[in-house]
Amino acid sequence: MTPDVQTGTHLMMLVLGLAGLLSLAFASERHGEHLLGRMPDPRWRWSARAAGWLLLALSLALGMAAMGAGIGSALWLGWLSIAGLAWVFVFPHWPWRPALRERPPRVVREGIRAEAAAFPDPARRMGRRIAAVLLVFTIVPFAVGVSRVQIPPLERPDAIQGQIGPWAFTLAESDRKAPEIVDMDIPMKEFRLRFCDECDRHIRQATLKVNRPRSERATGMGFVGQRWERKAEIPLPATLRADSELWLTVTGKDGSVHQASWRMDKVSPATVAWFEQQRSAHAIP
Amino acid sequence: MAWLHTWTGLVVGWVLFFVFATGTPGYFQYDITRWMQPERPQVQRVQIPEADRALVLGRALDRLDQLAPTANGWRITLPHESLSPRGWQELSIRWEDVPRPGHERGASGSERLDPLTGALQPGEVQPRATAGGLGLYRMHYMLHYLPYDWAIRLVGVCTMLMLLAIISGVIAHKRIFKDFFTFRPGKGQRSWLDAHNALSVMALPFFLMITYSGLVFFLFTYMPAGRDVQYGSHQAANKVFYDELLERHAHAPMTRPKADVAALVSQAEDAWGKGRVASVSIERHEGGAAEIVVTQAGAGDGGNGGSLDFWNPPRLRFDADTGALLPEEPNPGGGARLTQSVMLNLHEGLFAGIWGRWLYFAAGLLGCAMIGTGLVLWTVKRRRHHLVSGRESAEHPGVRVVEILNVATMAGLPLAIAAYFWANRLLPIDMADRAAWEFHSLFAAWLGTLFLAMARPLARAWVELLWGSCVAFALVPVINALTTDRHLGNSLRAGDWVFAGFDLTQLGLAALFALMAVKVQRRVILGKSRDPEVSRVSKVLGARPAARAEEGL
Repeated sequence: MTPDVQTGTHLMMLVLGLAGLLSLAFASERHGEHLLGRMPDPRWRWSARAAGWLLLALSLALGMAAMGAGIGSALWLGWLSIAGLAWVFVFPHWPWRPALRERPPRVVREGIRAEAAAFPDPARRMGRRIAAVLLVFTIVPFAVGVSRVQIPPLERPDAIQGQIGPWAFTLAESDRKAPEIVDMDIPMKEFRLRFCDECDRHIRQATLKVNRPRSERATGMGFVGQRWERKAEIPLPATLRADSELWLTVTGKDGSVHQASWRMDKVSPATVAWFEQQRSAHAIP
Repeated sequence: MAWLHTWTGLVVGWVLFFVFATGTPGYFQYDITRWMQPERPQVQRVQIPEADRALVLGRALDRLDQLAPTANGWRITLPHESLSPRGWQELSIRWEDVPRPGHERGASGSERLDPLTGALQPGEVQPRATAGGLGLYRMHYMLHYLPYDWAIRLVGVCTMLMLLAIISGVIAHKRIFKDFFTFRPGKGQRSWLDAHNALSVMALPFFLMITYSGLVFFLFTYMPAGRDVQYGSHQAANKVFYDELLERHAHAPMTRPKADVAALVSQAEDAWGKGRVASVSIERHEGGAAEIVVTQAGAGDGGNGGSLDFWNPPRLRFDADTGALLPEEPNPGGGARLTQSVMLNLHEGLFAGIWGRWLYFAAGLLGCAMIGTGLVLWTVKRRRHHLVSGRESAEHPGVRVVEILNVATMAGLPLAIAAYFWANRLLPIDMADRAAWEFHSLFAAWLGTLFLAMARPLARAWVELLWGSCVAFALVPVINALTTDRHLGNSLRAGDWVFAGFDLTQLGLAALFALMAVKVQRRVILGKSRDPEVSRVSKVLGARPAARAEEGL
């Protein structure tokens, strides 16, 4: 079932708003004369004003009756804005407006012509050339950037293709850079994981951590995200070395648990290099 | 007051134009996302047949019982039309495991089910990587390329100055009621002032609401003192504060309810109307009995009994064992929370049906127009030479900077937003960081328009970039037709109003820019004016066309 659109109510609110504001314009000193072609008499103006407010109140009442007090009054203000602006831009073209009073034509200052003739201006040309060069320099790096952009992590040649339990998967680090340092100087690394389309619906959870999980309950950070790109960002221990192992634990919806592991220098050489460099920089054996 | 209005408005005008231009599409963000993921098929609105409701819901419960026999909570989303996220929601189940010790949340999972049989559905189609409508929308408070904390403070300061500009503007506008409907076209500075006044006054309720409520969103970021004094400023204290404010319950493990869920759904539907049940959740609060909560679906304008408190839709609570109706719980947080919720919902317009959303969209465009006319007015008042004379380099450097930024923002940013949609269709599907490159395309295009504005004579830059924006929007449906099979003809035939509506809106925006381009071109290049006097004078003068009109842009 589609929700109630209430087109009739909305259009009626707009029409009443238009009528109400027009009536108020008739009643006003400035616009009344413009719209009617003569200054309306006070009694007439008074009734136009009353009618205007009455129509606006009707529009509000209609909205509140159909949509409730809150939504009705909010959208009533919206329709009034539209109605008011519609009249603002229609009134200059009002066909019954009084004839314009004759005014002497304004004379354009002779100066403008003289100014225009006084060109060209060398300083201006220089600035424009620089801007034109910059324009080219915007387009070129963008084009180069797009052409050099890499393929997604899971499609890189270094992504690990494997089988865990009955399920085929692909695992890769999100980028081949050094770890990212977050609060309290903890190095973090993000990984992506994808199971085969048919496998994915059988997966309950996948977790990842560095070093062999000590218990079934501490298997690391869970992967989150859409089935075509599960992501997990894991903290890296300070003791990480080339032979440290990255452990993937996958739990099926049938309750089965499967594990696989790889040496860190196979999964993320940049991470291993970064840790080595940290150790040598701080003279840690 | 006038000087305060002028200078607060000028300083933040361009940022605010960006905020309005990227925030306005937010009212259609789900539709925009849908368009930006053309791989996802058109939604089929399929309800659970009433006769099979017990069977289908029974299968859903069987599946939950099999996957998470003891859990922190279960939820069955029934097929329904939803307001946030917008669109049709399919039958699905969701569970959250009991959290491990030391963890706050348990692992959760979800599955889509067939509404006719209750059988497990295959996973969704993989769409292209895109930040979608949400990405566009988030820029209006998070900007881009800036740390989050800086961005929201920067936008906060600008919003505060806008509020100041609005209030000082109302005070400075002395003849606000006398000149209520006044617009005198073809009179240069006078016309710009009239237009700026009319736009600002007519949509004043929206501007006041959107500015003030925008500040309310980041209440505790902008004004943390009260909370920090009471609770402390570290993160744990923050959590305590929100737990207390939202009266969050601690959950206890639950198991399959004994009550007849299908019967409870029918009971709720009898009370609310057909198709108005959004979801059924089963949970147990610490120290209580398990309960079944049936939540109503929002229904657009007029749904939810006219309440602007969108986040607290009507609910029915039942005892999970007996199926007995439980008394209503008061909404957490009392009057203060309700006030906040109403303000935030007025800002986001989530409650609005299709008419209400278009109203919000139009109001957002009026916001762009208000800021735009204000910025143009500033230059029209201060430039010493007319735009048609082409002597902008003889202007004061400050005026020149404002002029260039005006062109690049008002005529250039729309072009850049169109470039975002172009990038979505034209960038290679399998590139890394594709979503980020959509943004890079937007900002590269915008930077390009800035340099173009600097490189061309000002009058030409206006006309060229306005036409540029027109062409950029007009080509979006064309590119869509060339790169996908969901072109306007197909989507109209299929009744796919998300795709058709998006394409038609692009054409509408193109028409709007064409109109502006034609108008500006007549004034500043051809020197034609609607004001008969100016035209007559220019004929008399017979100078080169550019020197004709006295008043221009």
